[in-house]
Amino acid sequence: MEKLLISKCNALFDDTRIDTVLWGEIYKLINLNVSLVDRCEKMEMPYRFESYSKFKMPTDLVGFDLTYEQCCEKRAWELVELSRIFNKPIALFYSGGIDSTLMLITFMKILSSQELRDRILVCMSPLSIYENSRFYFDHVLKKCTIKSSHLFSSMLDQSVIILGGEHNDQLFGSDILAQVINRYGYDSIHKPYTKDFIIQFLCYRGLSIAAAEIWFDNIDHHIKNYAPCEISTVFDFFWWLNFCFKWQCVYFRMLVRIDVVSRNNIDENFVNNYYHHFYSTDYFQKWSMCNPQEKIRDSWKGYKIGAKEIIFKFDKNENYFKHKTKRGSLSSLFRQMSLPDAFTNQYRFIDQIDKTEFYNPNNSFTR
Amino acid sequence: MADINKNRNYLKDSLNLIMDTETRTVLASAPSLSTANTLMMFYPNLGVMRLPTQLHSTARRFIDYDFNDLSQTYVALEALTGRLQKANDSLVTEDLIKLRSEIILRTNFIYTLECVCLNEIGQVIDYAGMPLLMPWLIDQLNRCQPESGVYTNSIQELASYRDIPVDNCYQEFRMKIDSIGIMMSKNYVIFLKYAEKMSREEADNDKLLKIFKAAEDELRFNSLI
Repeated sequence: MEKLLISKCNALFDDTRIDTVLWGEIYKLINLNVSLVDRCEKMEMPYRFESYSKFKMPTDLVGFDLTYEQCCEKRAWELVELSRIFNKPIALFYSGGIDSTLMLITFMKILSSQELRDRILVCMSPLSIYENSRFYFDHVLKKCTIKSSHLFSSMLDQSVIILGGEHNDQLFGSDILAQVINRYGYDSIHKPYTKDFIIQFLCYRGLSIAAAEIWFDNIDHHIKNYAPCEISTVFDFFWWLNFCFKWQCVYFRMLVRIDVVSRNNIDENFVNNYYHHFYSTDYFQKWSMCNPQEKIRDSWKGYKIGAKEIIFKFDKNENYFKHKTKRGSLSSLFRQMSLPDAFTNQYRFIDQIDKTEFYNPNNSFTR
Repeated sequence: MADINKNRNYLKDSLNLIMDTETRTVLASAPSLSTANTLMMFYPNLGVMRLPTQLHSTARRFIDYDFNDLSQTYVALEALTGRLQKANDSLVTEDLIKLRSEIILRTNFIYTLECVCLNEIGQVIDYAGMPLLMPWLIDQLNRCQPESGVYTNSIQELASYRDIPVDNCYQEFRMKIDSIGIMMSKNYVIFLKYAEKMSREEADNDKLLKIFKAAEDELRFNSLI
C-alpha cells in the first residue's frame, strides 16, 4: 500500500474532521513543511505515513561508550571507505553552520591534504562564507575543492555521493527549546516536564487546550512506554519530539526539493547508496540517548556545546565558539525551489495530493 | 500589497506612466519600468511613457500629480515632453474608470511580486559591482581549463592578489557565478510565471492574491524547514 514518507502538511489540512483539526494544530508550534512520523511506529497520525525502514530507533544501549568525537571519526572513515569502493567523490554540503563545519573538519583531520582535495567536493554558496568566514578563508578556500551548492539537482546522477549534515539537531535537542528559554528562562528547560507546563507553552504558541492536551497525552504515553532512555525534563521532552518524530522528514527534506527534471534519478538504489547524512547512524543516536548532559550548557549559546568544542579544538576561533548559535542554514539552499505536496514509499513525488486517499481513520487523535 | 498611490520614486527614477495609446489617456503610474512593461501583457493598446523626473526641472512639474487618483484623469498632449492636461469629461467614461482601477490593482500586484522576487536574489550578491563584473568574469572562467591546470593570466593574477592557489581562486569565482546564475534565472522564471498567471486572471483582488501567495510559497515559504 502506498504511504507517505514526507508531506507538506498544509496540503493535508481538513477542517471537517475533529481528529485532523487536533493533529493539525501542532503546526502552530512547528513549520508547515515538516511532517511528524513516529519512528517507534506506535503513534498513528491521521494520514498514512510509513516509518522508513532505515530509521527504526536503536534500543540496545548497553555497553555503548563512544564519545561524540569518536562517532564523528568513525562516520567519516565509513564514508571515505564508501567513496573508495564506489570510486566517486563525496559532495559535502557545507553551509558554514556548526553541523557542516564539524563534518568537514572531521574529514580534514583524517585525510591527507591531497586526498581531501580529491575525495571531498565542498558544495557551498556565497552565504556559506558569511556564516563562518574565518574558517572559509583559513581552511576551505586554501585546502578544498569547492563547487556551488545550487548545482545540487544536477549532482543526482550517481557521479558523486551526496553528503548532508542533517540529524545533528535531532541528536542535540530542538530549536523549540530556544522559544522555551526565551519565554521561561534557561533554568526552565532542566526542570521535570509536567502536563501543566507543556500545555501552557503549547497554548502560548497558539494551540487550543484540546489540541495541546491530546498532543501532550500522546507524547507522554509514548515516552513512558516506548522510549529506550530516560526522558524527564522539559529539554528531554522537546528533544524526544525532534529525535523520534521529525527524524524522517529531516532525512528527506533535501531530496524532495530537487528540480522537477531530476526527480527520475531518485529510486531505492540512489537513496541507499548515493544519498547520506553524516549524523544519521545508530551509534550517533545511541550517543544522543546516553549523553543528555553534553547537549547544552548554561544558555542557548551553549547549545551543541559538544560539537562546538571539537570545532574550537581545530580552528581556535574563540569568537565562533563563544557566540555562534544555531540557525536554519539549510533553508537558504532551498529558496526558490519547488516542493511537492508529498513523497511516498514508492519514490513517487505528488504535486497535488488527494488528502482523502491517505486519510487514516484509526489514528491517535480520535477520542 | 504595495502602496503605489504616490509616485515615491520621484528624483530617483523616471516616472512611468501607463498610457492608453489610442487616446493618450494616462491610466496609472507604475513604481518601476519592469512593472510598467509587464502590465502591457494585460491589455491591448497600453504603452509606457517615461518622464525623467530624476531631473529637478521635470520633477517640479509633476510632484503634485497623483496619477492613480481615479477622481482625476489626464491626457498627454505630446508623447515625449509630458505636456499634460485634464481629460475632457467625454473621455472619462465608466469604462475608463473601470479600466484604470483594474490597472492600478494589477500594478499593485505586479510591483509587489517584483519586490519580493528581487529581495530573494540579494542573498547571493556579495559585491555591488557584480552585475558589471559578471560578463568579463564569465568569459575569463570559460577560457580556463581547470582539468588541465590551464588558467588565464587574469585569473592567475587575481589568485596572486588573494594569495591563494589559482585553482582555488577559479573554483571560488565559478561557485559564485554558478550560484548567482542559478538563483537569478530561477528568480526570473518565477516572476515571469506568476506575472503571466496574473495576466490571465480577472482583475479581482482575492483571485490575484491567491496567485501572489503561490508565488510567495515558491520563492520563500517552500524553503522553511
